[in-house]
Amino acid sequence: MTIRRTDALRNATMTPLGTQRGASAQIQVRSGPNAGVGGQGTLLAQLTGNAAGWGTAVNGVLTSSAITSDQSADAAGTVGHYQINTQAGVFLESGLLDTAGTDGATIDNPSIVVGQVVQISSPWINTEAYDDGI
Amino acid sequence: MSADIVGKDILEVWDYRLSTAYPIINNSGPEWIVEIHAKSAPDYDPENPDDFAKPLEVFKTGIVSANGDSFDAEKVKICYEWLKTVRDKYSLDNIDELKPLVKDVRASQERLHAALNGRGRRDANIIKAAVTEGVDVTDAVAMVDGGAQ
Repeated sequence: MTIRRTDALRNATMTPLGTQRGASAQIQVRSGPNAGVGGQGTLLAQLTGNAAGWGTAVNGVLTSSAITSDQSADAAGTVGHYQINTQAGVFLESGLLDTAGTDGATIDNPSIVVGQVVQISSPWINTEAYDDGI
Repeated sequence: MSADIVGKDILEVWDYRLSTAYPIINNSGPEWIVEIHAKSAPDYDPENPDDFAKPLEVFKTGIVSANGDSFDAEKVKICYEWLKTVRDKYSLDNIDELKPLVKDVRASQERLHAALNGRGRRDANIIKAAVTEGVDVTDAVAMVDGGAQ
């Protein structure tokens, strides 16, 4: 791969991702695999993105601001994927959510019990590639 | 159109904790579509995408999608107006029993959300300043809580 983008350009491409997720985005924790369309699997818990906006992109790395935990999980099940909607409920994206951390996002305990707290312990990170990733 | 709809937060019209279903607004195609999905859907087999969970109900708004219009409050409001007309069909049987409990959970969530987003520190400073001025600490806390309504 000969493409090599600057950090400034990578930063400029990540900023709109944060803008589109926006303030108080919904981060849903769901069972089963994601499918590129919303509403798959069972809704287990829902966390809330930062009220001031999703986060900040620096040198091509978009880092979320604080995400509010779900104080009471809605259903029991095994975590399979996440789904992000805007605060208004407009579907944006989904991805795998597992313990391996090889793709999508990582969770330390995939077994959810009704009523438990579900929280994110570190910022949500998205990193723009230096090339097209292909 | 109802005056109470702002078109900002789905909780204006639908709290998933009180329902058997969850609304999803999709503007990724040529037009805005509102879908109602069951909160509890079977996990599909990745080898067989034909068994994706299908929406329980679909409303085609006729609103043309445009790049970056996810936050268009006027478009969202039209979706919310339709949601208000169908939400009762999906209410949990014991919704009246649940409403006050869900209200408590939401209040707790909102306080946590505010604290994580800086309001907690601001409230602490207000309380500290009020107590310094001679206000009883209980009254100072109530003053801050009242301001958060």
